[in-house]
Amino acid sequence: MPEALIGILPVDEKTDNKRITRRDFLRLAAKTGTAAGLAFALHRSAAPLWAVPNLEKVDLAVARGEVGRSVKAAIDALGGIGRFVRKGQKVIIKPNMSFPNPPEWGTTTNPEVVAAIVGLCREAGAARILIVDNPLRRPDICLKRSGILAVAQKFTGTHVLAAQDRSFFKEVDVPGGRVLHTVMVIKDVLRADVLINVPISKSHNAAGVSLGMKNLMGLILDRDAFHEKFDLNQGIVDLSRFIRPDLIVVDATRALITGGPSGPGKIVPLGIIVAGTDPVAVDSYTVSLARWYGRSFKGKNVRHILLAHQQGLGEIDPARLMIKEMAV
Amino acid sequence: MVQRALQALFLLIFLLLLFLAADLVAYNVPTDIFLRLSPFIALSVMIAGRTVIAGLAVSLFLIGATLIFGRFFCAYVCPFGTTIDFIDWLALKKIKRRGLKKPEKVLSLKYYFLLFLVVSSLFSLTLVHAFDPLALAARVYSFLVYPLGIFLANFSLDLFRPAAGSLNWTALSLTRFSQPVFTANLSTFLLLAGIAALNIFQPRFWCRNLCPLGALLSLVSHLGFLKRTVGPGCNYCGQCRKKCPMGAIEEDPYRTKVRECVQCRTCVRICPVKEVSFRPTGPLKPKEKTHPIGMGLSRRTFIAAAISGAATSFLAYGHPSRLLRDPGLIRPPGALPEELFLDTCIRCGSCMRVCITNTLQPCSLETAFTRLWTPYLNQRLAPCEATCNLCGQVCPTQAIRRLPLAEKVVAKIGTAYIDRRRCLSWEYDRLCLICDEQCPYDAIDLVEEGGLKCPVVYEHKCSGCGMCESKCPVEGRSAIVVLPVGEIRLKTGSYLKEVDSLNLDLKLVEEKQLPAKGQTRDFSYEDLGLDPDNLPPLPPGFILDEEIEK
Repeated sequence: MPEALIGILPVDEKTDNKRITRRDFLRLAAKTGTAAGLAFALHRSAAPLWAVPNLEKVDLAVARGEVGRSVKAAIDALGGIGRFVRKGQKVIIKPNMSFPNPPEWGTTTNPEVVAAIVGLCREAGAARILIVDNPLRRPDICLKRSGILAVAQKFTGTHVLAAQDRSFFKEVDVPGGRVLHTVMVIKDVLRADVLINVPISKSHNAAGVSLGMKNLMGLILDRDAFHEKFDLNQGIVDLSRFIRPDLIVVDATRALITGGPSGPGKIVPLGIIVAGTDPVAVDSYTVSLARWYGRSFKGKNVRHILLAHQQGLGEIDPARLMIKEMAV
Repeated sequence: MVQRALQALFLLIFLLLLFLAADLVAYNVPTDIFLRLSPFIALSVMIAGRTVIAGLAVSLFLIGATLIFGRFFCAYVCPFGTTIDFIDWLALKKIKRRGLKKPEKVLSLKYYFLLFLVVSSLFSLTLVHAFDPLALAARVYSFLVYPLGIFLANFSLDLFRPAAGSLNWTALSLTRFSQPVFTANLSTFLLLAGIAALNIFQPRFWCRNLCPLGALLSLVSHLGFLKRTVGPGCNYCGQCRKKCPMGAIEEDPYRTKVRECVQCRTCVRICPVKEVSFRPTGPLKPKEKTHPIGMGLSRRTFIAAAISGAATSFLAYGHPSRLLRDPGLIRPPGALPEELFLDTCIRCGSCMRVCITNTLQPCSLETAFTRLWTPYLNQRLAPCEATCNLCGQVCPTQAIRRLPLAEKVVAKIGTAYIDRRRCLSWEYDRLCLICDEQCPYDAIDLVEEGGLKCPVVYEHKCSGCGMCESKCPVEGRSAIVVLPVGEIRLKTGSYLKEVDSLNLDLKLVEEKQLPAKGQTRDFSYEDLGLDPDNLPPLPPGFILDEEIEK
């Protein structure tokens, strides 16, 4: 791989010396040869089977630099687009295009990120790419102002849907949902082969942060219930258990660290792309990238991320992840 | 046929300008040109508002053209006339017209009507909206035809959707338009139906007998060059008199009521001996035999019309609505001060047609008859989109000012007010915060109340757009409503300056952009404009380490 393996990104200076990666830990366990150590590892990590050692596998890819190249580098680090998209497949890309704001305002996904992903999917031979969201404002202006429409128009076989009308949604059961039992989901998402979640990293007045898991709320119709009828955080977790993106690419080229999700707030140009397949790991890691509301947090400080981890949706501790960081 | 073709052409242009206004204004196309053509609108509005509206000078062009070609406007250009003709052809083609006992008397009604309206304008009551054919046409097509068109389009798309999906016509299978809704659709329909139904007496009953714009044009149309002339071979068959849609031909076929003639040339076409033609004539002598120019006005009725105009304006003056404001009435951003707004708004519905969120709705009679069909924001239905300034761009009389986007963003139309007894957070102890989530101006913040985060409004940051009101999940009346408190209505001058002098802080984005430096920790609190001792309140979604321990 062309990119240098820079190593593990410091998550928090204070805990630097205590940091231990899964790889290190497993090596240690292997060295000492104590079964107890391995058992401890499995016990501590609530992650499912994939946590079984695969020393070459990258859990999280973090790239900085020019946007298009960062996206490609990050996805390549995870095994390349071919791992996620095969020839002839129908791909759904879910950016955040909920607001009629230009990307510079930090409320919607950077269209350059979306364009890069669409380009990769085209290369992988995707039959049809559909960019979808249920925007919070008038669909047509959201599409135009967010710059996402222009992306769809640039590529062949690529369409964009800002679904607000009921007829685009279908009611489905949510297996294992604690508060969410049925939900109206965009039909095309249910029919697709591949779902790529492309959230922007931003603050959220209720959920704390709006990253990958929160972004999935743009695939459903009735979001009010999350605020009105049941606990928003558990709702997000139920939805994330039900809708599992094949790939999550967080657009942290900008982070709206206050005033989210609609802005105006402080916009920090992070210039980072985070990619992974574990929804909890991706979100948890991204939390540590910016000072949300002027404070330093870890993934576990965000209720819905913590809940998701506790309910077995993924790994919350970046120290237990194989993280590949690169500059392009 | 030439007439029908030109009618269709002008109607098409009218509709394109109306329906594509949102896109066309970007290219500086004067989408309001039809409405500005009407000298009747120009006259009434400027008299009522005691103001000069430069854009309405275009109406002089129509006066000029009438001086050359007579009342051609009515036969060829007027979209309302075309609409009446179309409905007539559609529904009334085969009926036997009842005719009128004294058509001459009815014919002169329009002059009284015009006088009535001008006098009421003189006393600052604009009623132009109800009767100007262009405003009528604009409303018919905005409130009735446009929503119907969208409905039919969506209906056919829905029918075709399964097929489109399996044919892989993806773009088509994903197309759907937002259905516009308007409160005045019933009243507009009834008005149109009533006017069209009058055709059972005579074709184009409205145009002949009632239209005040037609009346105004006919005041000068007799000065025009082109006049109907009958050659010596006339056999007095009477066909022309019978077929004239305007009733402009007298018993003696040589005589043409020149003020009524709209130059449609039906008489030329149907004349069996081809003796009728339209040709240039010199200026008319006062007692021209073949072209009588009388209007059939009696002094008594003339005075009566003037007095009733004045009296009607007293109805407005004597109504409490002049002093009181409907407590929920929010005007579009950039609307002139209320009194002037009422005088200059012609209720054409252009602003409501073009409104991208559909929040602009016509006021009903309940508000007060002086405010009938004026635009207001129904913010429970939809908010005003902060980054849109279309309503002012299409307003023909500039009752809503044409503000640049930067000015419009700060054109405060009201202030949100939280009804704590209805609010899910304040009253029902639930975590909601949708108003805060949605507010594009970040004017809502959270305060801790009994361990729960509850919303409060910062008045100086609130533009009154109503995003919160439209999204509030409380059933029925919203728990957060926009009141006209603090609205800014400037006749002239800059909203940006006004907002500055009022110390308001209306913005959609933080002006301060940071250079790309990598992670946030590279930025100091100072860079970020944050005070470390007074950080913004934390959303409830965060859980501090101490709490996790527990």
